[in-house]
Amino acid sequence: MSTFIEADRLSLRYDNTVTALDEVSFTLTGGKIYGLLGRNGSGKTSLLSVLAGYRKASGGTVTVGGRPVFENAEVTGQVCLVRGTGDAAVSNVKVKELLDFAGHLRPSWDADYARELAELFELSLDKTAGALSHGRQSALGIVVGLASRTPVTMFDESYLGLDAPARYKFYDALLAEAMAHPRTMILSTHLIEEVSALFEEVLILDEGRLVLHDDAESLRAAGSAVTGDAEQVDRFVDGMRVLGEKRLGRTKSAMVYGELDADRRAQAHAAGLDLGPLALQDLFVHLTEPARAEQGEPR
Amino acid sequence: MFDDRSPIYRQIAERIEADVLNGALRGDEQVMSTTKYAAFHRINPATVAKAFQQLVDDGVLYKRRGIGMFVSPDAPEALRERRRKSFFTDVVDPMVAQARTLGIPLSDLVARITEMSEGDRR
Amino acid sequence: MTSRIAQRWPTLRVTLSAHLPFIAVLWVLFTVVALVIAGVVGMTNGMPDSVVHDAATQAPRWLLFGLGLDLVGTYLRLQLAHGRTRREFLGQAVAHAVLISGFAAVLVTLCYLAERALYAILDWPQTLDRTGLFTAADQYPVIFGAYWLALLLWTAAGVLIGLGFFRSSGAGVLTIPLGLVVVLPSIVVVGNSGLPFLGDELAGVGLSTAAVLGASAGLFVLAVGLAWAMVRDVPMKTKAP
Repeated sequence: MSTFIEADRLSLRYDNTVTALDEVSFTLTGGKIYGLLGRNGSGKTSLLSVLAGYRKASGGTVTVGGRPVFENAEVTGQVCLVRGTGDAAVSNVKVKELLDFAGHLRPSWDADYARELAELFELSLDKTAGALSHGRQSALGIVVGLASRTPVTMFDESYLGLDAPARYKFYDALLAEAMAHPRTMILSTHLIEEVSALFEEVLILDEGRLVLHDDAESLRAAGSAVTGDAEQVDRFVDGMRVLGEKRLGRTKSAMVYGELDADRRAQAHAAGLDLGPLALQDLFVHLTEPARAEQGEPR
Repeated sequence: MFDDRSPIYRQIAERIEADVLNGALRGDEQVMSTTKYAAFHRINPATVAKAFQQLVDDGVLYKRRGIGMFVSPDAPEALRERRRKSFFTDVVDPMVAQARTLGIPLSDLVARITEMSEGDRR
Repeated sequence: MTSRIAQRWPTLRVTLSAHLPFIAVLWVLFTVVALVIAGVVGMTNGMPDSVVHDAATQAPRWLLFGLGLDLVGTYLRLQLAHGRTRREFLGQAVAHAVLISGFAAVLVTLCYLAERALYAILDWPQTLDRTGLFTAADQYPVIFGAYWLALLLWTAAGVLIGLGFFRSSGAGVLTIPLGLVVVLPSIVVVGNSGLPFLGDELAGVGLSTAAVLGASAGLFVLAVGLAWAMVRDVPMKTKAP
């Protein structure tokens, strides 16, 4: 099935007061690994919950393969979202039974693969989910998500409580799975440096709004730090999207968004300006830092 | 290994070129498949594929249908030739500019280079 | 056949496989305890009324009510997480309620039979201290039917209140009195309220069987309708950490 995902002015309000999502629109062509980045409370979980039909949108539409998601079994059967340690981990039920239930409820479930993953993450099948450590609960969520083999699989910060070796096991398993059974995967995270190489596209949410959506590779090329004489810097960055500025005496450093071609680089060089690359992590920080509003909206 | 400060596909291409230049990869030698490379370095396979495609376009690698990617036999020489061309603009010109800023006479630079080449001969 | 039903009713398979064995285990315990009590009371105080009847009109409905709550509390989240819809959940919850209450009613009826055998050995009459739709302890089809109906209403009330609390604490509190109304006919059906209020007065009103059945049907439909109102667009909140 097509996993073309389209959100059109998608909004979500809690109790008609708190705005969790504010007219978010995007199109995901599918079959890729997407990174959903945002600070805590930026709306990542809300967005994914709407995409999975866990919540009904307050406004706008979201479709998968052209069909609306909410209460549409044809779509929700193809979508799996694991939030944190997972909603499928009922605390008083044994891990083994939870995996069996998944097999009954998910037509696409791969039981052998689930056992394999459970072994990889050293899950005790005879323990109840509630008796597992936080990290093992996260691992259970990961097993459920991967073994679901759903065309759209989403992990919302599904690594909390996992130590670094277990996190890398997760990344390895996810990548192997994405290559062996290509499907749409969306990972929300704020451990950007650790996982960003896995992403093909990146979406950044801030305060319920989509502030950026682009190829990960374009983003890596898109950020620059322009440093030099304040006046020269101002002249150079005029008309560019400035994400942040730092000033020390007459020296100024401006973080700009937008790829600089050879001409522009030569121009900077001629003006005695220093151009430095901006890591994805820095780009993210500058796009979402709270002080941004006080410095004026990015141009 | 790879960082987020520039496109990863460029970093991959540079690494493979470096391996070809220093002889770690020889002409007609098979390189890792896209999937293996992606899994080994934990990189999105599309990113790796883009790097490999660029290397094919540049003539560094060639494809054998159904088998994989190989280093072009003339890749080491071609890369060396390309680097030679850019060597003066990429390395020498900035060095000279730096020397000027620091007030090092160009004759000192020349003397140093001569000294080093004599050391090589010995 | 079984596998085809399992495929068409996957959520039902999951919930039944959890609840039916649980009911069966508790039934064995219940029967043993009830018969032992009957024996002890009989030895010390002389021939008792049906002890099974006293116990069965009270304990099983709380079990079924609890299973109704559990159906929501344990399985709604699980099913939504595995891509099932709310509509599907409620449809299969209704089927589940009918099946587990029917199963429990069969077991309760068997208790009356077992007690009859024991009393026959001891040569006691198996008499009922209060009567519902059935007036004697050997009217097995009516006993079965009465318990099925009563337990179904209690399961439905459990599902309704469970869904109320799944929605929010406010909605949960609101559904408690509604649940209480839904189970009212069960007092007349089996002839025991088990509640500290209302019970005997209602049993004494002298409603006709048709009126009781009509009211039960109406209240069951009301419970399902209210449950649908609770669940149809309920958000699945993130679990408390």
